[in-house]
Amino acid sequence: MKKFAIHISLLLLILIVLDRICGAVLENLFYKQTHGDEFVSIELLEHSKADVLLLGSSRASHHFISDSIEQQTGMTVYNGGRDNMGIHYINAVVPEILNRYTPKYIVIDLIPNNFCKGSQDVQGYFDIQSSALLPFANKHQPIYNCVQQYNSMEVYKAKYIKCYAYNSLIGSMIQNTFTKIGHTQIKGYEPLATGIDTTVYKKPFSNEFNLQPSLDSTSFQLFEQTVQACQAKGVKVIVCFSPFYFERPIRQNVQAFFQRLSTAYQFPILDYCTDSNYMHQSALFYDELHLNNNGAAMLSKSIGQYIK
Amino acid sequence: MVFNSLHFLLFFIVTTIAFFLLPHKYRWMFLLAISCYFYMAFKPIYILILAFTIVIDYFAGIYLEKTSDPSTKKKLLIASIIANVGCLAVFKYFNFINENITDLLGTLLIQNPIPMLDILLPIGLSFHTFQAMSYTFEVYFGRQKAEKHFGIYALYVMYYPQLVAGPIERPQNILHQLTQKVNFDYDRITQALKLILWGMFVKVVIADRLSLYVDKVFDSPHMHSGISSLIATIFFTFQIYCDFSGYSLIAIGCAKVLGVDLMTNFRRPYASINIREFWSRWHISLSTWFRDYLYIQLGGNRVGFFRSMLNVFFVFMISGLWHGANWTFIVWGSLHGIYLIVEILAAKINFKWPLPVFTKWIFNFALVAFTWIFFRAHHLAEAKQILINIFTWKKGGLYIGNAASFGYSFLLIAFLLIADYNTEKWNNKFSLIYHANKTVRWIGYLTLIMILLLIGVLNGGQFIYFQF
Repeated sequence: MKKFAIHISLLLLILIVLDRICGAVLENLFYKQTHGDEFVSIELLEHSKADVLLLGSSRASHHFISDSIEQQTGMTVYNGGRDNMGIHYINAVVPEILNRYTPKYIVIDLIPNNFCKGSQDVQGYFDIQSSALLPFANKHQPIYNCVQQYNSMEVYKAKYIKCYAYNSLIGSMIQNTFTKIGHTQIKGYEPLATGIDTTVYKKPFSNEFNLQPSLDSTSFQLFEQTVQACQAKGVKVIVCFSPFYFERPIRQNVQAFFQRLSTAYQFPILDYCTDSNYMHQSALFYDELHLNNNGAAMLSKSIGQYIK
Repeated sequence: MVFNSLHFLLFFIVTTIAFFLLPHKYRWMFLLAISCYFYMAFKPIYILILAFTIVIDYFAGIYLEKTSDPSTKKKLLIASIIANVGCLAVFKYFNFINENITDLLGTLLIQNPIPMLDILLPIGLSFHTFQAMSYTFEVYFGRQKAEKHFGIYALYVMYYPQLVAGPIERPQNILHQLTQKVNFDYDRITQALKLILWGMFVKVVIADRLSLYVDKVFDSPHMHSGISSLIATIFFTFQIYCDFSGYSLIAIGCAKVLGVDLMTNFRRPYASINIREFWSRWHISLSTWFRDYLYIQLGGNRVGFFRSMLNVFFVFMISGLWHGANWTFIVWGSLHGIYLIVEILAAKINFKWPLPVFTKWIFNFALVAFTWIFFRAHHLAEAKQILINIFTWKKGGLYIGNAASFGYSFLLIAFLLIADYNTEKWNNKFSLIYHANKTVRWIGYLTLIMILLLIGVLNGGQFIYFQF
């Protein structure tokens, strides 16, 4: 047993050393990325000083052309939208951004019905967002706190195992640092070129809107906290529900909640969910959830005009 | 509690240390207690199902041994089978049967008055039920003495390493091991830990990585092209192998640490060049269970040729149904049955395929991969869509998802094939973790652990076979 204990201890010791070395190398590589999803978060959290910040999921990253909004408003714009990111991510990054500087506007693009329980696996969705935040958790305290609130084990794992936060990222980090392959972003905006394939999209694939879910109080709480944090720093918040290819009316209970908050905190809601200028316009969409470049140009113009 | 979770890691370390610190006479009690805890970590109330079958089978075994009257013996066996299969019928098959009755009555415009049951399938129900049944069968056939010690019998059914996903053990192999004195043996424990490490690697690094792609395509087949559907099918073929064989290796490794040798469950099934060989390498504990307790009991190949072929088909169809209450599994099993019948027929007429071994291997792999489409699909319509995508070579780009993850998937499959080839052809001669040189072995351990940490999918993904 003694021999076994010695060998296991030795193995653990070597592993700890290896983890520290690999962790340091990976951390260095992480912040050297020049494009890709993580790059957008790095820009948002560490470098961007834009007057207008756009936050949200892949819909935000594909829907808002930073240059177009810049031209209309005369203000600098950065699109911080990122695949699969929702209110949990936004709630974590906003306080950190506000600690660094104060933008004039923060536009939050949301899928309103995602604020319902049952529209998707809320914890699973939070887990995805936590993984995206994990590489920043050891460096940025507000992010650490936010992830800890919903995934306490994750932050401890990331704290004590240095490689953990970079799990599964090594390939994309190499790709985004040493090659030009992958997502191409222009001030965070990621264009989608082609039009929707109407032979495939005959009806909505997602059935979340057929459910009868109740409100997810956690998501609303996070949203309210974000608005409060912005208003405390004098940042104007604009909430945008960007367009869908198929008609997706906002649930009444969700709408009522957003209206209540909008009145209480005096922020505008730009609702394009059932806008007939977009719905079923195959030339404007890439798929049922995402606008293509043409659609993005149209929406960005509209957003730019509103801000102006 | 899944094997690839932090919860299990802590459980395993603490219980293993406690096991070796305890005097021998208390160990069975301790193992039984931790096995209960392990099972109750999923859904505590379902321990009652296990308790029910354990009590029934324990007494059935005792009375089977006591009585010499064949008719009483038969009645006892039937009672035990009804109790076990009854649990399966209620928890696993009731809603499936009822759903089909509803559909059937619906076509006649009649409403089905029987409501659906709102219950969750107890985890690993098919596994521990089959293990319990193998005991009753063995006692009935007189090949195993009835276990008089209730605690040891309960431990036989509940032994945590193989409780929820096998290997489905036989009493002859495991019962005596549960009572033998186990000393701390360095060589045995390092061998066991190697199995656990490799099992964890194939599950967390390979299977869970492949699942990221497979899930995207199979969950919305309408949106994907022929090439994406084909790649997803090939990925799933490897995913299911790595997922299940990984689980089995971890189970075998955990049991070995505690001094129990479980049976081998997988022997590189994709190295097979025909279906018969595939089934001698895939889920061995289940295929031998069906062979011994169903196929042979139906007459096996001692009956006429036509009846024997019917037996083959029936056994495979039931094997499909064992996996899940869904037509997709029945089709999966039936296809394997048909494949095997064709092979038997070909052998009977002395037909030999004039093909090189490599071509036979590819062909066999394709046949098996084809059946996995049904196994993975949630329903037949989904499987049909995947088949349409592939066979009409549906237009559309190749779905890649995360490019790095997609790239890893190919590299990992290549790595797995090389590792399996090394075991199959060279008896692990070139394996790092089994190398004669100690330094090389240590490099192997460290490399596997670091890869696990860096590219493993570390979110405690469920094992596919848990649902069965």
